[in-house]
Formats: sequence, structure tokens, C-alpha cells
Amino acid sequence: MPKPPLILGPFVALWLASPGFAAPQIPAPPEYSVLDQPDLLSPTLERALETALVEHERLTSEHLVVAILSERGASDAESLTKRIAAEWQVGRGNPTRGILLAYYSREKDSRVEIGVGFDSVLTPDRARKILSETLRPEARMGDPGRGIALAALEILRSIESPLLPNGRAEELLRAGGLRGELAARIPPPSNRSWATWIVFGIIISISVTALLTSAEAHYTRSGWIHPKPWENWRARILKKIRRRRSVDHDVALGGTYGSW
Amino acid sequence: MGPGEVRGKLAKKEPRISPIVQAIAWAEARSTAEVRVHISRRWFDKDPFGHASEIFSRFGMARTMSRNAVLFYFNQRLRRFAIVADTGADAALGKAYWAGLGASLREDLLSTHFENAIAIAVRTLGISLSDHFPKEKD
Repeated sequence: MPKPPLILGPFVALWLASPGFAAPQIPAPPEYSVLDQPDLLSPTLERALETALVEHERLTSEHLVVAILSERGASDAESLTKRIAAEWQVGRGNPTRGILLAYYSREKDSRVEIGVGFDSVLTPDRARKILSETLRPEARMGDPGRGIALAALEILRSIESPLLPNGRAEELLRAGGLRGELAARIPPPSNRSWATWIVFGIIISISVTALLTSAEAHYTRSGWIHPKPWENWRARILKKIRRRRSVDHDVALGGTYGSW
Repeated sequence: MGPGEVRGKLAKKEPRISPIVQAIAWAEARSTAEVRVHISRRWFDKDPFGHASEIFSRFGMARTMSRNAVLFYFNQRLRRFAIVADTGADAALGKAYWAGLGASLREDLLSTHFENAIAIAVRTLGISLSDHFPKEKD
């Protein structure tokens, strides 16, 4: 078997070592439950979020961590988030008692890694819903920091954190600078939805025009009639409703066809 | 010119009877068959024969005693036509007849006025149907 040419060796090595191919380095774990690599959170909001997560841990021994990374590179969000949760020992050595909320800024991707101890209160579907209804709308509107803080609040709500009933979590986040209602804002409709409506309107207009201009005339010995387009549909629907086999379709008809 | 008659532009004009209606009346007067003509201006008509068959059943044309109804279908926009014959008429006249009728219809449509071409085809069919399904036998 012929050996591959040695001249390709350096190029292959360079390709393998390129940043796009290599998995990103996992940073050191944060001191206080929130790591904000790209500085999406304001300092006050970061401190407020840290305080809320640390207070929750002190009250319940449940370890919640928020990891905001600049990028995830070529790795997929799920595997990288699992690796981060394992390296940072989210759960303080007991993975069943830990939750990691990860956000990858460049790819605008997010993932929640949930310890099995939370299965009954925070299911993967619920976590996906939190991300899609809270974090992603805010990120689309240009404020991912707010989205991350609101997602963390929703996670605390889902796991029935004692910080929620007394309003402590909301108080902390408001002190950190969150304004308005602590729920995701409804993003404005994207330009694509306008284009969709325009295309839909064009299709409807063409269909209606075609229908109105598809005039028909039916001649008999007595004269001619002008059947309406919807009469055919009405006949078909009535036939289906009555579920009566028409004698007209029992046998094949003869004849011919052509064009001129 | 008698009293009360009006000449010129004020004279009431007789309503024009379409040559197609006249041809159908002429054909049906000579046989027990039912003949109809359906003209459409649909924009999409992939299968004119299938569509004509639907119209055939929609207007209940299979309910003749001898199953000898015939429908002429024309799509004037796409210049397509179909002739649909019920089983009795098809068995009596044969497939070769329909092919010949279709060919002569096509030539007439290309050479003469649309309505006149249809009327000629209907009258031709009427003659053939009167041989197989004469009126007086009923």
C-alpha cells in the first residue's frame, strides 16, 4: 500500500491545530457561581446574580452556576456544557445537586445541564422552554445579559427556590439593574414575517384572480348556464359527507381528447 | 311593412341563439342521447379528459336510459378539448369513431370560428347517434 506523501504532513498538522478545529479551553471555575467571559452582564447585575445563586446554595445545598463563554468553537453545546459541568464539579462533587446554565456568546447558543436530582422539578423540556421563551428572545433583541439573568430566575422558580416566595431573588436582580417586568419582552416581528405575509398575499391574489377569470359555460338544448366555481367544491364535499358511491364512477368512460 | 312595425335601429332584435345550443337541440331531436357542451377558461388544466369526466358526473349525465350521453369539453384558454362518452355510446360507436371525430374537430377549430366548429362536431355526432339510438324507438 503506497504511503501518503510526506509533504502533506505539515498541512494536516496545521489544520488539526487550527482554532476552528480544536475544542476551546475550559476556563477556570468562577469563585461565586457566575463566570462572564465576554462581559455581557453589568458589574452590578453580575454581583446580584452571584448573590442570588450563593444564597440559594446556602439555603438548599443546591449548586447553581452560570457560565457565559465567548464561544464554543467547533464543539457542540451539549458536550461542551457537560464537560464544563464535570470539570467545575457543579454540584460540589455531587452532580445530582448541580445545575449549569451555559451561554456561548459568539454562536448565541445556550444549554442547561441539569443534575438528576432535579428531574421532577426541572425537566429537559422545561429547561428548553426557559431558554426559548426567556433567554433567546432577549438575546435576539440585543440584551443577552438580561436574558441570562431572567433564565436563571426562571430556573430558581422551577426548582422552587426559597428566594422566590419572599421576593428575595427579584429584589436582588432589580438591585442589580433589571428594570421593568421580570419576564422576557416580546421581540418585534422580524423582517422575514413581513416577507412571508407579502408572499402569502400574492399567492392569495393570484388564486382569487385565477378563480374569478376561470369562467365556465355549460350548454344544453335549452340554453346555457354559468356554473359558479364553488359549485364543484360543494358537490365534492356533499358527496363525501353522504358517502354515497356515485354510479357515474362505476365504469370507465369512453371518448378522446386533444388540443388545437 | 305592416302597421305597428318598426324599422331600422328601433326595431327589436331577435335574441341570438348560440349555434351550439341549436346544434345540441338538433342532435337531441334525432336520438335519445343527451349531448352537452362545456366551455372553460381555466388557467390550469393538466388533465382535460379527467376534468371533463368530473363535469360529466357532476351534471348527472350518466343517468340516461341507454347510457348514451356525450359531453364536449373545451378549455378555450389552453386550447384543449375532450369528448367524454358514456358506456352505451362508446360501445355503439367505437374508439375509432372518437379518434376520427376528435381529428375533424381539431381541424375545424383551427380553420373556423370556435362556436361553429363545436356546432359542426355536435351535428356530426348527432347523425351518428341517431343511427344507433333513434328517437322513435323509445
